[in-house]
Amino acid sequence: MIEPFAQAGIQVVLQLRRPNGSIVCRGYAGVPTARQALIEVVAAPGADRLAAELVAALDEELLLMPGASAVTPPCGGRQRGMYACRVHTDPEAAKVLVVVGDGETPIPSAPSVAKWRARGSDYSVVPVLKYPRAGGTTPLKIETLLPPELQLLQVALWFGSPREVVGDILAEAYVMPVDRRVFISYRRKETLELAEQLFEELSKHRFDVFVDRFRIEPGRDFQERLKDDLAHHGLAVILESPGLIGSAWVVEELAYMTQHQLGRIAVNLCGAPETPQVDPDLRVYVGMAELTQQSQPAATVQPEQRLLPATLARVVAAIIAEHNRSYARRRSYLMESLRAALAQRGITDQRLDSQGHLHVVSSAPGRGPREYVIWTNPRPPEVRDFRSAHRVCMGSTAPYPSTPYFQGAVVIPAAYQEARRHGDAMWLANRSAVALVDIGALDRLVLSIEQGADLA
Amino acid sequence: MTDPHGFSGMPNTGPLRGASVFLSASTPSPERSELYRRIPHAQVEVEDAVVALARAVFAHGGRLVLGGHPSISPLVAMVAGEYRDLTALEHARDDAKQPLVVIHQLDVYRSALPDATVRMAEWGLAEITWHETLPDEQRTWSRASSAYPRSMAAMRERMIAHPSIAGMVCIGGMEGIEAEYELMRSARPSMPIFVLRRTGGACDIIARRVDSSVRDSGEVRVIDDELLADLRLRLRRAEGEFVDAPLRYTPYPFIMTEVVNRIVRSR
Repeated sequence: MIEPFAQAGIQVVLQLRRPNGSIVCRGYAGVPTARQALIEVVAAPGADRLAAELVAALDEELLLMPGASAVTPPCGGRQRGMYACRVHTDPEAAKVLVVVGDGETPIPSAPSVAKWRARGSDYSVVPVLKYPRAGGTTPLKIETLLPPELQLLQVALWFGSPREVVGDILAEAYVMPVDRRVFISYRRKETLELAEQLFEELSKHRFDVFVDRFRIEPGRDFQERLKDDLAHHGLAVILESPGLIGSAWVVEELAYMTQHQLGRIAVNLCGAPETPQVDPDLRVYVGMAELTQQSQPAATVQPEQRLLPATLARVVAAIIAEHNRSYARRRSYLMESLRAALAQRGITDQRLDSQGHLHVVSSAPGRGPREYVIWTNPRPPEVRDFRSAHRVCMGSTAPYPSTPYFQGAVVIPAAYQEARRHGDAMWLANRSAVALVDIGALDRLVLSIEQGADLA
Repeated sequence: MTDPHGFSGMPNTGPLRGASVFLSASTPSPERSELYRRIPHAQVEVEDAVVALARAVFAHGGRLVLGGHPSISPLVAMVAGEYRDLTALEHARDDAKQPLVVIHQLDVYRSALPDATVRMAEWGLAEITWHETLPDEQRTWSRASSAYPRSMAAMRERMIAHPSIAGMVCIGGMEGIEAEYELMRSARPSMPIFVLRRTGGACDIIARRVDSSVRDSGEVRVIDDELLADLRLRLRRAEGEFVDAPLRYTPYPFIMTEVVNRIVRSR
């Protein structure tokens, strides 16, 4: 008999602990994650509404994931007792306690938090604080707001919307990939300090930040390195200062970003010219009054200037929100085109596995049902991508059969088939059970599947 | 490595070989949003639609023709570079060297061509066809093509008259896209035209006219409506039941490969 929890296909449980101690929960199936996760949100005094907002934001983010759907858990969605949920019996599952404070009221000490952490390495705690006043310049005195058991933990701060901390929480629960990558495009002569300030702050938020284009290994071609770095970074942050548009390096970077549909957000400093490659909806404006003092008065941003704390928080919040949005979009955009193309041809038996591979079953006349495994990749495919799909096609464990169980394909933009990278990708494709397909030739892949043909 | 299915999309190997698709696209500006509806993240959406069309056309062996535009032209030209091995291009046969993109531009803009476009032309990925600016319109220089109305009209007439054009795609846009659409409808009424309503701007206006008019239908398809209106996407869960899993983003790669296939079938 299949246990009800597993039968429901639940991979993530999201709980909100109410002031009266009861817990309401919701399950999510079809989430691309390799392990189960439980996220329990509890409000400190004064933060009940904020906790509810955060739960709503987490819910929204989970449902944005391709293939994810909400499921009522076998318990009916209501529990008494902190450890009553089935997920607590799974030592592999990630259990995250999120303690939400309003940023003004000190969070009282609670033995339950220490008890949670003591249960094992699969239990973690994330304190979340809302920055209390919009436009304020006084840094938040975190040490006065947290009880001793939370003092040593990294705090997730949100400024305008709980969506800003959703990525941190889901990453802690292993639901979103930990690698969050940002590329900062800037003019050294004008915004060096500001770029480094953003580097520091984003690094605290677990971002991998590429900020200095001159950190290139000797002998390495700049163009190739540029393409490698940009392609692997999900979001470009453009610091708009007076001389930015005229910089040849930046023009090159912006053209590449546009071609490869990388996420872009601009921080416009003191009314600088706006780069046309950035959508007006994706621009944050910073005025002179929001920067540290200049060494000599000037109408434009100076290289020694940094953002004031509240403005830094606002800008970082916008970057995080746009990273999450564009990351989700990049992950889903190609896959949704693939699914739509298949469905339009009547190939409707589609399933997403826990690693985001699409399994489709085609029943060509006279051939019987045949299963295909396809994944899409907006970034250049790497060895581990081929290995992952190859293992699925070959049946996951050695000894592998002489012919694959499933036909496999990876769909990528042709951009990653050029020059050196093309050779690498084709070498990998030739040695695996996975065909390499250009997104522009999507219809040919679908036709082959419709006909029940071999792909490789 | 052979490519029996044509998955790699290499040029000169597909059913659109010898044919061109005319692209009419731009991003509606925020200042004009009262007349030309601007969708959220309009620039990203328009760019995605343009890139998807370019990839679908090039992967099927075709070329793109368009009027010069400061952001669209270099974008299309750069995507063309994905489908050409520049090293091999040097030694290729003449028909394999034919640029994938043809950009039409008034000669008054010779000095204002984006660097990326110039570079793509130097590399043989794009071809620029210059058109004379009428003498009485040359008196003052303006970045806005609306400053040269009769020159632009003459350029557009010559641009759409090229016999290799087998279809037209409209994305986003403002007055220029409306003008090119009207011109195509009157000059080449049997030309298949594909309009993307979801990109807003002029396409939204044209799509509403197609909804309500006999004259504007026929060869004109509001292609995103057609493909997506009744499309129902579901996913099977591990235990066997299906759940609805609707689209969250406009699937331009899917739409554009369908556009290209329809153009191929209409030839």
